[in-house]
Amino acid sequence: MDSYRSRYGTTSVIHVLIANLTGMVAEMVQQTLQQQPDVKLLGDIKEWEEIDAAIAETDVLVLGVDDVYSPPEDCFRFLSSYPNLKILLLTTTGNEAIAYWRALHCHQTQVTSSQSLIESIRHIYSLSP
Amino acid sequence: MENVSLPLLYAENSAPISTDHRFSQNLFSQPDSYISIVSNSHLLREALTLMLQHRSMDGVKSSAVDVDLVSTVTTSSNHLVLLDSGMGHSAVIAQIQEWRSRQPSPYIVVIELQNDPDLILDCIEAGTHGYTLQSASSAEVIQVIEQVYRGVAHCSPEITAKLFDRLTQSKAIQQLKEKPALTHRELEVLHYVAKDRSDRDIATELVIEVRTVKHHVHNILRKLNVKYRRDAAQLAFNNGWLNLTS
Repeated sequence: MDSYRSRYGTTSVIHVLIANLTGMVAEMVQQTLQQQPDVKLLGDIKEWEEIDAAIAETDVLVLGVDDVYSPPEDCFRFLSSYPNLKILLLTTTGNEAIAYWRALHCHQTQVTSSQSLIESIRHIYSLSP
Repeated sequence: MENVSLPLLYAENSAPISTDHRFSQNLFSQPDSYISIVSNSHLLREALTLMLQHRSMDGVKSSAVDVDLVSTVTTSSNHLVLLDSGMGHSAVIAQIQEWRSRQPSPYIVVIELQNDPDLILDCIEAGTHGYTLQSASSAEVIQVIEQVYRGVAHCSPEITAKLFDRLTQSKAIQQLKEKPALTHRELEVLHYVAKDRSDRDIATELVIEVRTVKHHVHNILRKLNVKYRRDAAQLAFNNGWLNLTS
């Protein structure tokens, strides 16, 4: 973990919220996140309305979507309300992911394993707000 | 799309994650048991591979491939293929039919299906042995695999009801094979229906009113005892009632 912290310059725990991921992939992502000492999993939310209640203390929201290029409207509301928030849109039918932060910034990545998902979470968390 | 290697993943001496799932180890431990995972999604492949590794399947081999490598999946007895529906409706159906035409034919379980009854029914008709929806947990997927190996299938009540409907339709269609009992004009209308032409187009072609076309279509569906125009067209195709080249 120290190597990750030195690589990404993180010294605190990353608060991650999972939303709209279902089935076996959700199980695996949860399990993988729970095994990371530098990650605190805030929850796995299935209903969109429940995100509002947990978003305030979230550093990275991992949101399952059908199309990473069309973020749900609420994403921009969250980003403008919480300037430090990073949102990682993830499609489980393919391998694409896009991270959004501060409304217009975005970073595209490929998620080819649960480990690369963790790497992506650490990376976008380390980006300047 | 990247190609992936075909590693053999042996699940040996592993313990079940969940003790509340009554998993019959011997069903998966028949000689030469082999499970293939065919999916575009790396995350799904990893999740399925982990699931198979953790479910006490001594002696069961598995491999995961990208859908581009689907032709490399060779079948053998006691072989089960987990096929991700993300490769597309028609591709999934074609692949199921292709595998089912082989000797020996593998067991096929379509995974990550959307809750679309028509798609599920099409997969069943094509020959899939089981299916799971996108929201299925690993325990549910294991249960379906176990049922397939045991030779039983499970459908939701909604799908079962639709299966009954399709069987009824199919029976009605079978009974009508010999005698369509359509008038010459109705056959003319059916000819254009089979070409997927609109009522307005048909009216123009036959120089009649649109409402007259609707009347003929209504009579055709009633006489053939089908609900939809496409079913009437399919019936006509199957029985050679129409010559669509004209």
